[in-house]
Amino acid sequence: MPALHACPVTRNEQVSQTVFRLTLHAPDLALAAAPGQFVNIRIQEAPVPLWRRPLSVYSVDRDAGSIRLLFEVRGLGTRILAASRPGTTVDALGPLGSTFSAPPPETLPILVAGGLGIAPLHFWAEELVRAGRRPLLLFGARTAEALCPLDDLRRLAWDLRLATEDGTEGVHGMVTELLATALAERAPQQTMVYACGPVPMLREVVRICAAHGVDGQICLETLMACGFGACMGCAVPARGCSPQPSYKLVCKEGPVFTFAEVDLER
Amino acid sequence: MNADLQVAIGPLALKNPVLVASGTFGYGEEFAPYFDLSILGGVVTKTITFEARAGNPPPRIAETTAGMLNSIGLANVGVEAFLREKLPFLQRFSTAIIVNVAGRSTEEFQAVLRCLEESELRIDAYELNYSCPNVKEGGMAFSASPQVAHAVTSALRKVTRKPLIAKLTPNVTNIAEIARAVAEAGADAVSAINTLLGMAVDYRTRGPKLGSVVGGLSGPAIKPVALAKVWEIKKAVDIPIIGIGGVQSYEDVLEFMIVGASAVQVGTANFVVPNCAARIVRDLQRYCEQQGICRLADLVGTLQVNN
Ligand SMILES: Cc1cc2nc3c(=O)[nH]c(=O)nc-3n(C[C@H](O)[C@H](O)[C@H](O)COP(=O)(O)OP(=O)(O)OC[C@H]3O[C@@H](n4cnc5c(N)ncnc54)[C@H](O)[C@@H]3O)c2cc1C
Ligand SMILES: Cc1cc2nc3c(=O)[nH]c(=O)nc-3n(C[C@H](O)[C@H](O)[C@H](O)COP(=O)(O)O)c2cc1C
Ligand code: FES
Repeated sequence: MPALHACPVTRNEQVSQTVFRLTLHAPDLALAAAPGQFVNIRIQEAPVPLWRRPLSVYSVDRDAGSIRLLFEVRGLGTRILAASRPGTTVDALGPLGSTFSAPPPETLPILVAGGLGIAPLHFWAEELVRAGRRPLLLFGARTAEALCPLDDLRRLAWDLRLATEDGTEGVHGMVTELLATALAERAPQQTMVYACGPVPMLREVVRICAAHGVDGQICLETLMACGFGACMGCAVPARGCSPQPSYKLVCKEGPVFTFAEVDLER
Repeated sequence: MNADLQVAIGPLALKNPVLVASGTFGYGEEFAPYFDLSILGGVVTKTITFEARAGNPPPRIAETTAGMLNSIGLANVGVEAFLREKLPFLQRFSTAIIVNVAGRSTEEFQAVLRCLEESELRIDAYELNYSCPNVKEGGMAFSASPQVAHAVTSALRKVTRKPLIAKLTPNVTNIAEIARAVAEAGADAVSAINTLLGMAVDYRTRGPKLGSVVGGLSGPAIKPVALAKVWEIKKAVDIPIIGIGGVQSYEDVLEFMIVGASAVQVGTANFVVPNCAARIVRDLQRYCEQQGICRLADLVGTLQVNN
């Protein structure tokens, strides 16, 4: 059940020029949150910025009763959040949204992250490792500096492959090229793909998977006014055979969708 | 001392003047995790039309300074599914249930109302959404012309004896004139205001931020406009007014009541603080007790103006 939480900030680290990793003391959220879900943060008690800001749960530590968020400074809201210091309190609504579903036994979970799309997939990879699975994590960004936070990613027991568009780290190219290579190495029924990142990347992921007959899930982002299904603002086109358009709400029916649920081409 | 927060909207008695606005409270279920809905004076449900509607293509919302723009497009499940799947949930709460309806024509309005009238479920009043832009009568909004507003209200008055609340748009030259027309046609109350026509542009892409280019502005940014409209209407008609626009605190409620509203609706603020309306009720109670206000309703229309 989602709830409002007043979460003390215990740590706020700058992990690259624009990306921050925020640790909140939030025992209830740490217990309740599942990979793919997000919290909706009220930036300040003022009418500007008006809306809360949705951020994926990046990691949980149930023993310590803490959750971590990983975010990029994009505008006013994230800039204010980046300045929050230990001792201050963050107003978080959550956990909200749908979760990734477990890969069938004996399959290799392949996680494909583009840029900040790493946030929900990092939590998912952590949970898979806790459940005794060994996921393959493909992570791409424009440049090496944007491939962060590699300290967390290198520490854990999963396979990690990197790509940068400018070739400053890992393979020179797109993360989707890593996916095509990985899929070519295995029979389709032996893999399950999970992806989060910019829409053009997700489109390509779905296309490559379709070509290989591989199924999977994507995690989407939209603007959100509420985050819990009340405003109907976060609609995305649903896939369907009817000529009438229909929509899915990213905050409530998503942000995690199966490939078959949403239409990224429209 | 326990202050009396009860107010009357014509024949409709409310335990307190805090309602939640149509389209900002879903069908109620979305807010049940955050507070007991029985605290509210009333719930106004999302606009219902005869057939289900998918709504407008995205992007449907944009954030602006102290407000938001929306072009949801009356996305709703349609009257049949509403009665079957949505309305039963609200029955268990001891709060007024006000169903907001709309139609593309007078006939569709009547058809929706007739379906609702046939139901055994509790409905305490109807709010008529007169702000949808596509009507048979020359494509004009229902509340843009006093003649049209009068005709539709008269037609709907014949369908039900339940309280009718006409929800007015501020996007007209003279809102008082429309209020007068619906009052004459038998509306029990008016609610004001619906969203203001607005627009947001991305200077980088040179494109509009909404899929439908223009949309409705709501939130704290519109409160001064809403207060002025309530004041204009108050001077023109005797029927009760429900004030809507940027309400987010008990102080806002008091301001609307002083200007002439008998009750208010909380809209956009529900998105930001889901238990906002419940907090407002508690704060109002506390304020009245501290100030020794026995009957909150006595505050209505007490604005002091020096001429
Ligand atoms: C379910 C969900 C999970 C998210 N998880 C994360 C996360 O873990 N880490 C992270 O860094 N970001 C995440 N985001 C995106 C994050 O919500 C936005 O970056 C943030 O709201 C921007 O707020 P701002 O006030 O800083 O920027 P604003 O001033 O509001 O906007 C600055 C720029 O960012 C764009 N923008 C704003 N909101 C979004 C959005 N929701 N999606 C894409 N672009 C947006 C605007 O169009 C604008 O160009 C997530 C979004 C959703 C919907
Ligand atoms: C996302 C959204 C959807 C809305 N949908 C409806 C609706 O279906 N019917 C209606 O009569 N008003 C609708 N409204 C208008 C509100 O009920 C209210 O009149 C308006 O938002 C002003 O109040 P506020 O500033 O407190 O939000 C909607 C407003 C918003 C923000
Ligand atoms: S953000 Fe309001 S319904 Fe999804």
